Amino acid sequence: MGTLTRAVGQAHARLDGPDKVRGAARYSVEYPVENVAYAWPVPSTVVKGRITRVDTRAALAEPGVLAVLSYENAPRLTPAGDPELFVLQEPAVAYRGQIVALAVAGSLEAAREAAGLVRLEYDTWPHDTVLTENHPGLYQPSHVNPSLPTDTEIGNFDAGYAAAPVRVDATYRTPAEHNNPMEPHASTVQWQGDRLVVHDANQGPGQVQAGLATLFGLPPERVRVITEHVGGGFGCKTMRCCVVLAALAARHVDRPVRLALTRQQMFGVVGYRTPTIQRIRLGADPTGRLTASCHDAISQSSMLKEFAEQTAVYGRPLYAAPHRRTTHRLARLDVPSPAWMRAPGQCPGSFAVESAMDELAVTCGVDPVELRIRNEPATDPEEGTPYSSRNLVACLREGAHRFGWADRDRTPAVRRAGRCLLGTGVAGSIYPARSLVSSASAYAGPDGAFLVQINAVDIGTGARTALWQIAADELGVPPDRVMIRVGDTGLPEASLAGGSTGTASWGWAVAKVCREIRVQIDDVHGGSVPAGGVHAQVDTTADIQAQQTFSRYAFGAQFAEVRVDVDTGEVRVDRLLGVFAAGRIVNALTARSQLIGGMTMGMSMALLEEGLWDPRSGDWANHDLATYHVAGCADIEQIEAYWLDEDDPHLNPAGVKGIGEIGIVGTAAAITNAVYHATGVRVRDLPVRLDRLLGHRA
Amino acid sequence: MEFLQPSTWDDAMAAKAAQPEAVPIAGGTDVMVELNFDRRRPPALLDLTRVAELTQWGTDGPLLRVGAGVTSRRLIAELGGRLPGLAMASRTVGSPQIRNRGTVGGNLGSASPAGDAHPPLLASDALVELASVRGVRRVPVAEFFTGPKRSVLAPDELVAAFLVAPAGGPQQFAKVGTRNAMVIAVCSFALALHPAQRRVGTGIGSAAPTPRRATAAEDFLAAALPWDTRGRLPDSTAREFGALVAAAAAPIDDVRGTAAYRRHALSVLAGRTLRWAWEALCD
Amino acid sequence: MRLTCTVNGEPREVDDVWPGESLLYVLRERCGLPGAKNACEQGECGSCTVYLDGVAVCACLVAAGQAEGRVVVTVEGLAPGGELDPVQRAFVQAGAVQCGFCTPGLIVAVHDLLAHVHS
Repeated sequence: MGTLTRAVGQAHARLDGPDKVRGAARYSVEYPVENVAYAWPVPSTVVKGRITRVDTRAALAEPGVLAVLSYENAPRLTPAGDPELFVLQEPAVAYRGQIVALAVAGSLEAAREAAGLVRLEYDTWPHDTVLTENHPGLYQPSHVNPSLPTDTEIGNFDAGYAAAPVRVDATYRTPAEHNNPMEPHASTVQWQGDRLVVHDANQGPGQVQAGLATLFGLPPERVRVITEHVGGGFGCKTMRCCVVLAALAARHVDRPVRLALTRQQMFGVVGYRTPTIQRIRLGADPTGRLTASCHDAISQSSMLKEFAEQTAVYGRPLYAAPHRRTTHRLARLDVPSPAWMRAPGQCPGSFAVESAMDELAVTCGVDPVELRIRNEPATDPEEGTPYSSRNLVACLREGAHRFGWADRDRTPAVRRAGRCLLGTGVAGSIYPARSLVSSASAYAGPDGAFLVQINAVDIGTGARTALWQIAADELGVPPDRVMIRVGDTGLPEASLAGGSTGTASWGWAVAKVCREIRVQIDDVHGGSVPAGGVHAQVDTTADIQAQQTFSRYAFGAQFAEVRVDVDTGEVRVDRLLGVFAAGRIVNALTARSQLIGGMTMGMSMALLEEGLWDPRSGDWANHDLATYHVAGCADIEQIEAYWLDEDDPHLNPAGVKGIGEIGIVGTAAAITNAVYHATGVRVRDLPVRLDRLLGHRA
Repeated sequence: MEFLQPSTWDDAMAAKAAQPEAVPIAGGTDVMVELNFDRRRPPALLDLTRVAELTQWGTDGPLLRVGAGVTSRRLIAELGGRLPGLAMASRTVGSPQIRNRGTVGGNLGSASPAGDAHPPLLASDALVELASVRGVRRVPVAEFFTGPKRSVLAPDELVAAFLVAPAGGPQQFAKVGTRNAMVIAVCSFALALHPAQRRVGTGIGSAAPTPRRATAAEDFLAAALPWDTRGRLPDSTAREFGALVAAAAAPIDDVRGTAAYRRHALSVLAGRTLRWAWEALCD
Repeated sequence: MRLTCTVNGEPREVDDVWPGESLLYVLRERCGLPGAKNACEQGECGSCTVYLDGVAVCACLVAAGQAEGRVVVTVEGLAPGGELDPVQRAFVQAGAVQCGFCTPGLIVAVHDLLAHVHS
């Protein structure tokens, strides 16, 4: 074993790669199923109202149509916490686009045709759908996501701010944004007697299992959710109504049912990032040392449920200031329910805070990298706890070095190349490093092969491959002797893929069970696997409860170089460079993809993405990829992601912090800070728009 | 829904005459989106991809006659030298997959104010050849568009071809958008210089209910350019030209940009394309 | 209507095709070839890219009947013997595969691009 190369840290190609490039990887509606029927949802065409009549005659007269479900005839559900999952149960309509009926037919085209023939009549009421900073309905929720304090205050912000010789007071806005994973939500559902078998595209098969069990009044062990491959999630594939609709339909028509949303339907029903209005006030001494900071964040939720985006938590553990305050206020509107999206809270929050830090740097005449270094705290400024590791300064320095920041002239709007103004910008980045309870099993065969099983889910991150590498190292064998299975509730229970917790949480259980297997082989069986093999199963509840108190965060520094056409206001990003400190990097290949993917999404947020709301119709004005632009490879000239070797002993056995989301945090601010440096125009309202940059507002 | 598949041009016109509500489809880049999104359910589709005549181009007297079924990709590869403005515009259309299928005939048939082919066709005085069992007529492209997604195309007519003179001078096309590709233009502009006749052609896209020419700008520039000396282009000429182009537009505020921005951007594109074209002429 | 075409070298005869449906729908729902993906239905994302008579196209924008008598090659047809095509291999090795949903379309698009670059 002495010469065995460790698998962790290697750039292993992903295990599922060959199947995916062949088109052989099966996604949730691609499994062959006998006698399958198809379901097509019918969205509400009113914003706020109540269904008074459901006329299904024309729909049912279509050849091949099996049923039309609505609140009048759908099987009854038991509420499962999230009102968005309690579908087709009540006549009330909370927003336009809410699913109010479901056509089921023997073919997809018949289901679609029938859905278009369902006639619904409604009583309607006036609606209120626009978030404003002085909306009369703004209130203080009891907590913000996931369960964080709504407001915090350390010291006395008002006094500290009043006394500060230098002040920045600015309001930033981010629009609604849609997750848009490449694969639309999709489910294949089969009732096998009193068992429910589900192929579903989601970020947490265990969550879907538990949800379906509650909704349909089943013990969880009678619900099996299989999630082998998922075409991305970015937050919107936590449990959604689509799988519930498919299960209702399958029960009603007593046949297996497939339901795949279209891209257009996704805009209405799978959640989106709330628009935010954020006021930042910073007080500092003339050298840029913060004395007071305040972040007031406003966002929206639906009438169905309270979803309180944690926008202002971004700065809580980040920069030092003795007097500090954060607040969140929420308005409940007649709109679709917002939901988790790509670094919820942290991402929009970072745009405001990192823009304001740039404004402070300009006001004080201090280099913005240096300004951040000057505000480095020794311990978490709100919690008072030590950091498990904190390498923001190292990221900033390494990034500045690699980017070529040293000779930067801070004067805005003076670098010209042809018809373009050039500029560079920087932002900090932070994201929580959490581990959640998971379990895993392992089996050692007498043939020297190992099978490791965990109901983790690989939504494209490379989790399957990373866990396989961790397992190989813990078992002390070459990875080709290890097989890993994920994505099935028949496997040991594990946490969902969200909040960048996957590898930290699942890797913990995998590492633990592999160590357990080694102990059994070495101590119980004298170093060799008996004929019947060796089996072990563990969970990490006790380990996670026993964690010492630390502030655990990944950090990063984002640098951007932009080019702005002086005559048209067109912005192009020539270069993005990020340096991250995120614990141990398990797989250099998949990690790089995660990080540059996050950075590209941050660029997309800065320049392209905007859910346009039409207050009259109470609906999105753009709901397809031609009118809602998402950045692709060609939108960026050069993108680089680097990481520091970080050995943090206070995390988890794999030593990882999670890299799924840190890449998007701060990116948009780095770009708008670069736009300021290029043009002298401060963009506080995303996305950067050509007309806004030139001042040609209507 | 019926699927009509004529294999000759005569059959295609006969089919359209018999069923005027049949929707012609070639590259499908507009029609299929409408069908996929369930925005329309026409009683019949009239597939034109098997009509060989439509995919051919050749000469008709002094003009090039390009079949309506010639794709953007073939325009670039086969006609880029003779129709440089149209080729530039074609290169900005969608992705390679879209350029492999999309046709100028389809662009004309859809008559979108944002159609990329329209400004260069306007700038080079193209004729649109419309055909039906009743006969053939050739309509100047400037008279072809009657409103957003509306044209003079009669219910029984099909777009057969467009006719245009090979470039007798420099041609340019430019558009403004939030990114370089896969984007609907905020506005676009095409310019053609005709030094032999001392004439100027223009075309404006995405900045009025229809694609349109900027005739006052054309007249001004034709008179103002130093055709004889081929001397330096005065900045004031470029500015005035830009202002007249902007004045010719009738833009609206929409999600891609304000009306004021569109006018401004058009003046910029007009000035820019003029400088490029004049430099090319004088080289 | 009945559609007859060649897919990945095999003659196919598909019945009950609705004329307004796309080639993508035919491939996925009627031919059992889910390699090409349905992700936008408007030619924006490229996930459904296939070869139609040797030309890379978005299968979502080809009307089923337009494929009558034509030759279609999907991502599944690029590695008929099981051995990966060099483009497929490069995608795996370079880490250009993530969730994999648009990958089949990108593979065909890059395969087509390289064919043109070489020629």
